[in-house]
Amino acid sequence: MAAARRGEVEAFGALVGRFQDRLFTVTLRLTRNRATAEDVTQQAFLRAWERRQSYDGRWRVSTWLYRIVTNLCVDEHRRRRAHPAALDPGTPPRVGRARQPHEALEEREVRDRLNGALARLPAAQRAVLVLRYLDDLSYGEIGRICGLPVNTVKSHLLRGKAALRPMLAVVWREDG
Amino acid sequence: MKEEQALREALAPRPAPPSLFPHVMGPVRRAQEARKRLLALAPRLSVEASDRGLTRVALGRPGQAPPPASGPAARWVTRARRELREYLEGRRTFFAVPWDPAVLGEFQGRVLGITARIPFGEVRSYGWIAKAVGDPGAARAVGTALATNPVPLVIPCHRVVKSDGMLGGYSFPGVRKEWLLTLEGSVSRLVGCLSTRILCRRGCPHELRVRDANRIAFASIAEARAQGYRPCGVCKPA
Repeated sequence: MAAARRGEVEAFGALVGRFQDRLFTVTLRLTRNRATAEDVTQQAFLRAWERRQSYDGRWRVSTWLYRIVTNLCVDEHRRRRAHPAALDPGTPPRVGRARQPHEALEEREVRDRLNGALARLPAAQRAVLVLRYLDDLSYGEIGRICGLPVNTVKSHLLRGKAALRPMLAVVWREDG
Repeated sequence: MKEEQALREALAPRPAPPSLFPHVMGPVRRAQEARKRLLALAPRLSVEASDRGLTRVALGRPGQAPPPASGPAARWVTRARRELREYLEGRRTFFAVPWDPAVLGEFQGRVLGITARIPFGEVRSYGWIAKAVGDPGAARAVGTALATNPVPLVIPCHRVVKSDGMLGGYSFPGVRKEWLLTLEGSVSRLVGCLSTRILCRRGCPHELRVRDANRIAFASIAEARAQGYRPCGVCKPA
């Protein structure tokens, strides 16, 4: 990061290579649309480059990048709410046909269902869950990224997990 | 725990699309290239001034320009050199040094007066300027007035582009409009100081004294206010 901060393009390129999957996954979960996610991730990296001077060495680089990306997702969300005409349908949450619990679910389907359930969560809970399970961030770091007190992070996590529990329960049973 | 495990699996990183990397690094490389070229430009600028302000900014060796005729003119030249260097280094977003309106014709004076007020990092069309000077049909005449701008950079004629999104011509030899717009697009206008919690426009005398470790860039005044910063009383970012 120190080299990237001095304006070394190659060092920044290495940073992009290292974090692009994770940042893309965060935006994908938060925007629920691949094309938008790609745009927002690109914008986030460009903003990081422009503001590399404002990187605070006390934070981890990942914390800083996640903060930029989640802020941009919030902006994007606001923009789309302000211009509903530009709203894209996104991936509709899958409402799987009623299945008996004993029916085996394919792994992919479980994941799709979980993602569907995740997509229905409020944005703040979703962001906290994604950051926690994508990169094992601490509560403190998530708080810094989202600008929330640690206790709020914890309660968002608990509520988010509670909302996903019915879906997770199916997964456990299948795992037997 | 199974629950944790299931969540971790469901939320595992997905590979970013292969087009993402070039879409990020392309603009970054271009910005860096523009920066390098503009930095090389600073020592090659020749500046002339009268008592009232700048009369000419052009490319050439500094020694080529006739020596300033008076004390005030010499001061304007020194100040303009410093401000131009800071601007090209990305440390300044506005010029405080005045230009001499006597070197401009009546129409050109009006056109350049409006152009000088286009904020850093923004662009306007030739037609927009024509309308602003009260002659909506005169977009071409505006183009001519800008092409003969005697003080480029200080009067930002590079911020005027064609209405179809193309950049249009630029008559400063050796400099491309694209570099300047890239530079301005990549420099944040607002800088806060972590220790004093004061927000300045980039280039304000107070901002230039802020140590690197205390610098923080902001995208908007609202963002800075939300974090407890107050606007500087000297450069008044509002």
